[in-house]
Amino acid sequence: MTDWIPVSTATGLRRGGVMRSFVCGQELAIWHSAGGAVHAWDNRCPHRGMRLSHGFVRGEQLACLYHGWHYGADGACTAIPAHPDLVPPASICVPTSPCIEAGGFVWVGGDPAHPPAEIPRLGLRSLHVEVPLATLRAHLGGTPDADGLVPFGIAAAALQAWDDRTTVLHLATPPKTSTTDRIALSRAAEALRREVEEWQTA
Amino acid sequence: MATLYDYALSGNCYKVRLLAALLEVPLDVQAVDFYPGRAHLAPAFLALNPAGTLPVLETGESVLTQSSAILGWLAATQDPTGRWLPTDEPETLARVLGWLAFADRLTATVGEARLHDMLRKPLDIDAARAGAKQVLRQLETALAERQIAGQSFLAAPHPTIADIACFPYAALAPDGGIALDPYPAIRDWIFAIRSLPGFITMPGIHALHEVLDQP
Amino acid sequence: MADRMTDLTALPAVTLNDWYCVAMEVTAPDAFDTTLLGATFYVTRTADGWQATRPDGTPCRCQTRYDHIWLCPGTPDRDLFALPEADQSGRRPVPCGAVRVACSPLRAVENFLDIAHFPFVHTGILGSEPHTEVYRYEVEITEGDAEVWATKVRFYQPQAAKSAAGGIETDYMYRVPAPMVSVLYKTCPPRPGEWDVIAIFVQPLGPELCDVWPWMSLFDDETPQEALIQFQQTIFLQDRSILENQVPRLLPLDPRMEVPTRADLTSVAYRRWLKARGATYGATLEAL
Repeated sequence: MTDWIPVSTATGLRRGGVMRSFVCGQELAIWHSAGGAVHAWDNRCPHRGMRLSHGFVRGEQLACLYHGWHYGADGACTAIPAHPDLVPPASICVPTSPCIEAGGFVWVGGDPAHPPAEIPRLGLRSLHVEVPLATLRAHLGGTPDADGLVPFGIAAAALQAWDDRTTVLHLATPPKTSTTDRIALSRAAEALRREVEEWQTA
Repeated sequence: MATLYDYALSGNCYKVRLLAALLEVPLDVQAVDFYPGRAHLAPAFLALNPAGTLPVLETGESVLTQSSAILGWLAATQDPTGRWLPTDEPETLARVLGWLAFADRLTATVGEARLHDMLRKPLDIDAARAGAKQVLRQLETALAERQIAGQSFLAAPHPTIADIACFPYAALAPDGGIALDPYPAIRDWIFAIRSLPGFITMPGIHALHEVLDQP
Repeated sequence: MADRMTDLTALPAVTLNDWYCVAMEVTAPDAFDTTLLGATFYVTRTADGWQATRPDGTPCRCQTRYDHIWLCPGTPDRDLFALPEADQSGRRPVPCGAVRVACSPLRAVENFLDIAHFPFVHTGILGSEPHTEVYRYEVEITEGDAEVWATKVRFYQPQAAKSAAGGIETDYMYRVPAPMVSVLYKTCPPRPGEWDVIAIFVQPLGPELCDVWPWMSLFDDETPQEALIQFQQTIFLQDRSILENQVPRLLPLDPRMEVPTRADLTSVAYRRWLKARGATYGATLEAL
């Protein structure tokens, strides 16, 4: 069993990109540095509470959109543009969570000493499905592996509880899967979503 | 120079300004007081466009209305490369035309939710949001499949007027209380469009700060 | 959205007895409902001017000033703030309509007092990198805790106003004459020595929802009115997506909640001033 929660496929968040996510009810900004490191931070700039998921990545730093405060990989503030000569005090810091890329997915919140299995996979896509995680898991069937992944055709499915009502279905395929097969899997996932959401409504 | 009758907060007017900027075509922009003045419904404007809609482009030879039609005119007359409206590739052209029609569904759902939340337009907001979810899911699916095929844009390996027609109201969805979190492929596509040389912003679509401009 | 049963008497007197902008005079219909502090008021035009009633049908005071209709939900304990420039000859009033924002009315005011965000939110218009430095300026709370003022504010602007062509160092003064009103005075390129006046009048629909009525009083005989309105709407709409993404939506008055710097002296004074007068509608006193 693992404590790692999937938040994206490895290709779902481009380098230099930032997105919002939820893990165990906590709102996070997930970002991917220019050099390829992934980070999961509290989604709130300490200055004025602005969501950092609206911010922008510059190299190995994430900056807040509101006033451009920059934060380095450890979450510590590195620059305050309103005061170019000021060295920001170490107390200005965004709380961070463990975040890694492994097995075709991006994961948050587990023990870095025990990462998910490094199996080569290619991210397919992530779908928000408006049913609780348990409902989607039951519909998918299959036996979860040590990282909680279940098979979806030839793809691996990773489930993330976005909130009590919505689950994110992250899918990744074996690396050599053809484009035709990958599009077929994407459409199968859409069909599954329609089916389980209709079932939920009925 | 063509005259654009424009409202700064209109996604449809922005489509015209954006394509003109990308094509480096200067426009004479005349502001119309859509809100709060409702000048688009006043006699002077109705004499120009009896439908009372924005944008309107006066080309010198004719008065064009409907943003998709104006995008078509700009691409057909101002783009020597022929890439923005590829008329010599029937399948690509058909895809572009399909997305131009789709763009109006974005306006009618996401755009209406935005007018409700932002400018207090009375309407059934739950219906607008439910419609928006359906339309955005379709856009996400299409873009996800394009990504799987190694493509970044809607209808061709390069941007076309299909992207310009669909981009504004998709990107402005949060203005209407519609989060874009569920649409990672839309997020990447928005970034690709914001990265185009000559891209201009509108309120609600921020400038790209990722690369520090050289002074 | 509005709850007709909202108990207005439960609100602090300082909030209940203040004046709030509820409509723009020229576009207001002859009779309309409006939401204020969670309650619905009814406003009508009569031969004697605008009149308003509370949810329980009792009358309350109404007046027109600065091109807008103002309403006091309680019993006014002071006059509407004075803005002498409004009556100065040669100025053009530019009311801009309302923009609805899902944020605390106080966050909307605080953002209006802030200049450090110009390069990132109003990029290329009110600010641009690398001109991000906020120089030292002065802040005071005037006698009797009446108003917050910030003076000697200077900032580089690539396009300071619709009538400004190139980049200039612009001077500003900021003023908070009421908890939900903010006025800024800025360099007026065509008339050195005079100040353009730009204000926001914030109508609190609820603690986390407001209508913001921007209003300007300018020396500008050339720019079409439509263009001035759209310039101001553009600026404010750029702020809107920021305001709707601040967490929490309520303005935190606990100093441990957010980290100010020297550039935020106006906001620090504003928060302290709100707390001192008990104007906490739209604020939170708790830590997150």
